[in-house]
Amino acid sequence: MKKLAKVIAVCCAAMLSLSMFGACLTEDDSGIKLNPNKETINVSMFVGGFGAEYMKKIINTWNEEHQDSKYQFNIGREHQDTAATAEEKINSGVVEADIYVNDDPGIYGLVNGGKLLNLGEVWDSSSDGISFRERLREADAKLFEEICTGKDGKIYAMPWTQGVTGMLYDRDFFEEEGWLLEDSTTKNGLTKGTDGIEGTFDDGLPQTMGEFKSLCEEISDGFWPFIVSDIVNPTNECIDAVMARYLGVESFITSYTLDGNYTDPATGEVTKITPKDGWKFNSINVGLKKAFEFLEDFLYNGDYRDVDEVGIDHIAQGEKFLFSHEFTRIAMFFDGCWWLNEKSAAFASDVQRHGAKWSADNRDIRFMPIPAYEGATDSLQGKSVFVTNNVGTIFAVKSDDEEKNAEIIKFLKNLVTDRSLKEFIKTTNCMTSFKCTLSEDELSKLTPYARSVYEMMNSDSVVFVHPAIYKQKSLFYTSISVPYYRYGITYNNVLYTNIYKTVVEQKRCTFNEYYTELCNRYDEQSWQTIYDALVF
Amino acid sequence: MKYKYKKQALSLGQKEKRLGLMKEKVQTYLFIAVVLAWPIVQFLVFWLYTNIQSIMLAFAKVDVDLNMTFNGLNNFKAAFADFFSKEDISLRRAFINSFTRYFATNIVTYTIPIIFGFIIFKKLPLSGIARYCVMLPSIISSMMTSLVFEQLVHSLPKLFAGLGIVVPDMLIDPAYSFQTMTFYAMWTGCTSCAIMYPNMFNSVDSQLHEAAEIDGCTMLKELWHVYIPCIWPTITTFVVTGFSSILSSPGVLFAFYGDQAPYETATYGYMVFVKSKFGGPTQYGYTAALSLMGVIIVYPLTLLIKYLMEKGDRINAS
Amino acid sequence: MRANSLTKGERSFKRANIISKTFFITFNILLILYAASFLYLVFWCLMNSVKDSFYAAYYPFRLPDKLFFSNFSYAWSKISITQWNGVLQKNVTYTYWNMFFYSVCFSVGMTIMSIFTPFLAAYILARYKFPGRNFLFSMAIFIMVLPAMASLASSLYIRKQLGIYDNMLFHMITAYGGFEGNFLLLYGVAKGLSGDYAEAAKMDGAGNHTIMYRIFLPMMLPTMGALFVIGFLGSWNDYMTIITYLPSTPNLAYGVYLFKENATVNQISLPIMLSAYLIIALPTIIVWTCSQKLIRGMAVVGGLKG
Repeated sequence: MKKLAKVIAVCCAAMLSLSMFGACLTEDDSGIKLNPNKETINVSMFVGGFGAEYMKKIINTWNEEHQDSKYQFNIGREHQDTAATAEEKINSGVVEADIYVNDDPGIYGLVNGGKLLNLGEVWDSSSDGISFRERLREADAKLFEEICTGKDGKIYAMPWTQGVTGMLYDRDFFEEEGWLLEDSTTKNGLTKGTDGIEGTFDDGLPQTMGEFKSLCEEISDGFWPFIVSDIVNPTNECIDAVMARYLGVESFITSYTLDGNYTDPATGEVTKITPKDGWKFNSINVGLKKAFEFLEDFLYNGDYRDVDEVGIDHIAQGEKFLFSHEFTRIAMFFDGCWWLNEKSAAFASDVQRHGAKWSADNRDIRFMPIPAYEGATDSLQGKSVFVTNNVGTIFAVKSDDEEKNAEIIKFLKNLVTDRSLKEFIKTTNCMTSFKCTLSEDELSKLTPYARSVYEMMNSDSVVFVHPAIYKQKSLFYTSISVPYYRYGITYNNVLYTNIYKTVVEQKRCTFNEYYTELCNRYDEQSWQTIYDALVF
Repeated sequence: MKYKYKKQALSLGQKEKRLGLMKEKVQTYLFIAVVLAWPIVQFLVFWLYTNIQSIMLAFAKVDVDLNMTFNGLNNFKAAFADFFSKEDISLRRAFINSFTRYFATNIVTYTIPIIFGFIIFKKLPLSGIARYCVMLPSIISSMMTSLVFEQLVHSLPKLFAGLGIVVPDMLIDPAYSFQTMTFYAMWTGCTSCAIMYPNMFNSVDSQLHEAAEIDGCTMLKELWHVYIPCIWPTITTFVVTGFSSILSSPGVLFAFYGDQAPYETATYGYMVFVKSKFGGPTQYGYTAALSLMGVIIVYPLTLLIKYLMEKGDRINAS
Repeated sequence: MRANSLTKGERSFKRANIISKTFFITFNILLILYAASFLYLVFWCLMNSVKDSFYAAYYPFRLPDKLFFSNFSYAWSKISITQWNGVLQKNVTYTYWNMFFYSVCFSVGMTIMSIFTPFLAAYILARYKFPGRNFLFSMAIFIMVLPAMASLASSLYIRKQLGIYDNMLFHMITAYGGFEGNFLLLYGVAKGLSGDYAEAAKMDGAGNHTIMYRIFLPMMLPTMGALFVIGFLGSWNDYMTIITYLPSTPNLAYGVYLFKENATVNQISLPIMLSAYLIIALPTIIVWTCSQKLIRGMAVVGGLKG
């Protein structure tokens, strides 16, 4: 017993001794070079999806170029907190950083909380001959400015990333199998696509649901058209994409705010919707019907996907899509624009086993706009619609040190320059909310996916809809005391709020039944409870 | 005849004895005060102050700007209305699930670990290795345990498909998810047998074991008549503390299902947790009322369980 | 084999009747199977930690076709985290050994306080009668039942006001109350101990403190030792407390949590995640292995003479 106790004591002592070395903290080797004599301005980074690598490069460049400055920048913390968590911490007095880079536009409380730095100067700035506002897409600029502006009329935040989501397809696979639609009259032999312009990202892709159906039928003869994970919420985003494409942007926004005009695409009849009579909206919204048809006929069609792949997360979804060339190949999947940034390990594994042909630089995977149902609105005039699952924002906490505040403003202005925006594209294979121009040489160094994203996001033939922002502007998502679930139904005396879980995983009802319940969910009386509970 | 009691003067010895007793009493109270000072201060500052908000929230209405206004009993009315709602039975079902899961799980996790612990204590074959292995999930990480369990259950349909047997995904299929989560709770809930029970058996007076041996007690009788009564107060504590969290603990459901657990599986504590986490500040008052309702139901039941368990104490029951 | 060379268990088993023997053989087998299920858990993690993401994605239950030990070195390199240290006011990288040190300090300190503070309250309430005793005991039950909700903001606020936010020492001292957690268990143990020991000590001239610390504390050590082991393992794997209250002193569990949360961004597949879990679990596995006999030996023989 004594001997054993001695042995244990020696082991414990050894471990503790080793750990004492651990007590000596090492300086940062995160890749950001810091000067111990300078004051540090910290950036709190949301790292889901786009990561923090691009910001490290931008910060390093900035610190190198501003050696004479009293300040230096650093990534103080990497996290996956929402803006609401940051707000809670800041209001409790726990300020972990000077600048916060978030992934969502839920900053209403923050911009009205009186603790943030006024970023009006950033919004009024220009770089490389282009103003801040001009860099934003025309359709989005006003919307972004609205959410970043407080009740006092001052701007306290800025937009940053855009989480564009959509259907991604394996273009190599499509080309191999001859699934791209052909047109002998064009130079590239492919149809011009929805935008009617030859040589753009949507060449050869189906424009109508009829064409899409034929495509899926062709693919399903020997392969899987889809693999779907619901972790990034493709169900709701598919609904949004189909609805927006069918109804047009204005009616789509009304579906979130329940306060605006709804135009029936078939008849052109305009109905004014107000929060008070919001209960009727689902039953007149034909876009919603089409969306559910899409889910039933395509995304969750048992003939078009392996039904055993239910409940997988989006990492597994991506891996199975990429590795499917060794098994039953999969043609399409649904994910966000950051997907390639997140699948580096999967690509590496694939290359190691099966050769360099399967690397990210050699595989051409692109976004496919969801086609339009017959009778869709003409208001989009041939434009494709993509949904963003989130719009990232940046804000800074006001400091008592005016010099520090000025330095922060300068840094944020630097973020919206060609150089920083290009760094973002090169590192993440995605784009921010801001436009920039890449030379042919710079484009050639990108992956095929990044090139297609660049083209798509710079295209005037693409419209982005931002449900995350419409929710921020809507009373129903920010100020209601009774929970309002957009897709909530009561079926067999139970409240269900998630379509995928209810229909696909748990098989409680069909999509059609879900849609019917959604239309009949509220009547005038039950809606009154929700309406009365709104905090105005 | 009436006798008048005459107060007699105390002798010196009696006075000294009374003073001594008083002194001892004062010393004892001083000792109690000194020892209890820190626990009470800690309670007042770090528990009462921080948790009083939980109770006050149940009577308040919170808006998106986190302004609290007094809301009377409206939160409780809303909670009652939801609980007894005919349109949505999920809260009621969750309430029943809590008790069903508790009793189903704890029939196993209160009895089996005692037997396993006794086997380990008696050093039956391979019990030493078993004792080592049983604590592994706690050592490695509960995140890993739930991850592996999830992977296994998701893979079972494909594994059995090769044998021609149709097995559903028991975490997703609502017909099986409750049983699956209950099994998981049982599987991970029996690890106390590795340390707690053998140590408790170890601290039982060996003279009792010797006496039982002399009387020709079998192992089973020894367990039932000697060891269990001796550790009954500790078992009581486990039962009481386990029962007290029956309506407040969200368990591991969130790790498996996020906020979308099927209603057949959800427990009351889970529903309250999800509503407070995802409902936003405007739901704080409502969820606080739900929690408080749970407390009002569980608190007397906990005391009742405690009373019954103490009654069942064959050694100390009065 | 001579009878006096048999263990207690073997002697008991020998004299058992058929029912008793059947009962214990059955449960012994069940225990072995139960333990084997956990061994399989570790084996599954080991097996998949040496695969690449391709093989792990498609064949999670097969033995690896190729061994990728580089997963461990990659996990080792990624386990370190870099963040702002609010106490030192500078950016630091916390390596495995840094986090190991904090894990040891946090686990040992928190566990000791989680046992010692309730011990104080439990001993007093179990052994002494005084005005307010019943009230305090009822309060302990009430504390157990009432869940803490929406108290994060006020908890953070008061710690900031007292200047003890992000301070491990003060957090350990203030985290556990006398009436929470292990209070009831220790109360039961304290109540179950014989009062004869105290009387004998009093007769020998011992004061209240001496009786508490030199008589009853050692008698409660077996239970406290067991609680220590369980509490230690719990604290070792506790990351939520670090995230919320002690961000400048991340422990290994926090490192793993961040590791898992950032898995997609840091391109960490399942095999590498499992490698990280195993690396972090290694110290506790070693300590658990070495302490088996020590834990088994935790017992106090009665001290009454005559």
